Amino acid sequence: MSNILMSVKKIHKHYGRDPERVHVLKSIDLDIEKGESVSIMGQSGSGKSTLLTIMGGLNEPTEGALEIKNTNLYDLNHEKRAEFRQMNLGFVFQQFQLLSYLTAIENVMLPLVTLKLTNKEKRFRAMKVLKRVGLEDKAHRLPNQLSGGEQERVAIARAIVNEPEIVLADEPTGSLDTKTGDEIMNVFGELNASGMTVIMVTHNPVYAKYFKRVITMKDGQLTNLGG
Amino acid sequence: MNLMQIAFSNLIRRRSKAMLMVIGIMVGVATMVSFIQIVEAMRLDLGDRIDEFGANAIVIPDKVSQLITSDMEAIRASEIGIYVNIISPKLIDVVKIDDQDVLIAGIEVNSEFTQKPWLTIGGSDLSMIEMADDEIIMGASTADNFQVSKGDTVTIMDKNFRVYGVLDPVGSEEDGLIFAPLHSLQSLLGRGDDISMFELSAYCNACPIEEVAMVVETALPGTRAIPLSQAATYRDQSIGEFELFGMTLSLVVLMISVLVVLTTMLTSIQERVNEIGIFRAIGFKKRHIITIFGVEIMVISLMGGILGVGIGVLMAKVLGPYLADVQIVEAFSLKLGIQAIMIATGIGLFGSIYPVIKASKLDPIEAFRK
Ligand SMILES: Nc1ncnc2c1ncn2[C@@H]1O[C@H](COP(=O)(O)OP(=O)(O)OP(=O)(O)O)[C@@H](O)[C@H]1O
Ligand SMILES: [Mg+2]
Repeated sequence: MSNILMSVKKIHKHYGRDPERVHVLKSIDLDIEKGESVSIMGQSGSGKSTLLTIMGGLNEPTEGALEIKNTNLYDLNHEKRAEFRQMNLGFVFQQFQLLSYLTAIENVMLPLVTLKLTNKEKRFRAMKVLKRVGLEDKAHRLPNQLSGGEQERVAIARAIVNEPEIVLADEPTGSLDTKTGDEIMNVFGELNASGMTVIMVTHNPVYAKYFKRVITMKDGQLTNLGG
Repeated sequence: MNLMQIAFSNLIRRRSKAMLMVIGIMVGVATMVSFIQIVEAMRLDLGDRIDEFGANAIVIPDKVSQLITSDMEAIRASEIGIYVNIISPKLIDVVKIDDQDVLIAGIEVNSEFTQKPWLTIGGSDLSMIEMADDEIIMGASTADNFQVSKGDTVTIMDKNFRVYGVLDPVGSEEDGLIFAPLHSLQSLLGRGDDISMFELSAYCNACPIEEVAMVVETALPGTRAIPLSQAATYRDQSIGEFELFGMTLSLVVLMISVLVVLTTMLTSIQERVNEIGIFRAIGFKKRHIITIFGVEIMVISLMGGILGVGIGVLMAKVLGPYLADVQIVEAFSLKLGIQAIMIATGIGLFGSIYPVIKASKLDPIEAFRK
């Protein structure tokens, strides 16, 4: 039990106000251990993204608690939670979400910008993770000069540049072809192999094989805890 | 990479939006600057006109029974002596002509007519004329009254005077006067060195005439110096009216500038919701977001301010003569530059404070929406 990194406790999430209030997550309980690779699958609208953003400390639940490394995230104020995310979590957003006016390496450096590091150190660390995703030769390109798969790699590099323990990704392969999708899944596989905990929302069952644990959701409830 | 570089990169990428805000601020600053310049020129011009048009103060006896010619020297020797442009002494008395009472003024011809350039004969200036001791100048209505004209002889206290000329009518008390050389009037009336009053004008644009008057009273104990400010009041009033007009116009333009910044910032933030969501998700704090937007708005304000001061100075030069009948000679000054930058940052801050606070409060999940 000492290996539990993240603990989701009786989480409920409602969106909107009465009478249009919708109950999106219904009492979710889930523990994730250090080093796991977890995929969350389910139909569209089942609440996967909502759960993932709550697990990432980005979306306040209506009820329940989220503990990561024994810190109750939603007990922290917004600024402290931002700091916690910066130190412990990495995100790969849908549609990559790169800033179009920054080069690949600058996008990767973003999470380091507000840290007390020298510019040289920031560049060094950004270059190191770009190498890890196989993009060091395209570090100075703008996002629109990169292919979809390459942009995805930049997004992954940005998510791991602060050396987080947990990487959360929401449908990172959604807009990629199967071959590129497989390559990206392999990158996540390598990250997990190096000790990072990976939690990914994905639609496509063919990617299930890349994960040690597959959780399924339906109508805001977990139907299979996997593992 | 730091927050500044993010701000600069974004400015370059969204340069059309940035330019729109620069222009908005520039127009506001230019309006304010040209208005400030025109009012300042009007003030300077007012100073010039006071010098040119008549006395700033009159000095009359108060506790002393009489002023004398040498009192002029005392004024010149006082601490405001260097500012005193013209002192025009006057002896005023009533004499009888054909059994009618007439006011006669003994004057020093050159100083009197230099100080009052509006007194003319047949339109020509009198400041350089030479008058003989037995010559007089008649005011327009006095000449009319006694049916005399240039070259006629008028008898005053049994002495004959030749009429040097008749003043063009000016519609004030000068029309009903007779002017004679000071010395000849003093001896005619047996008044020695007596003077009824001095009219003095000062060069000084900066020092208030009230101060000048006080110094004169100290230099000549027992006298009273009365500031005359009609000319100044008149012009001051027109400056006041122009100031009100300019203020109103500037305020309207400033508000438009603020609105341009406000709406542009709001749409810009709307477009950048995702981006701000990313910043927040990866750990940027509110103050980091505010810094990025703050740097952007400062750069925009600075550019707007610099362009605005240039265009404002040009506008004042072109519009000054039409709007306020003044020539703007003095162009750019450090003070004006600082004022312009302050106005520009003011517009920038006012227009962006609400959008920026709104941006800093955006939720990090915005980054997951699409
Ligand atoms: N901000 C919101 N306000 C109101 N309702 C929302 C909001 N976000 C999500 N929902 C609703 O909550 C439900 C779950 O949404 P969520 O995005 O978590 O589903 P999902 O499983 O990720 O779906 P997909 O596979 O299509 O991405 C949906 O019915 C959605 O319409
Ligand atoms: Mg989703």
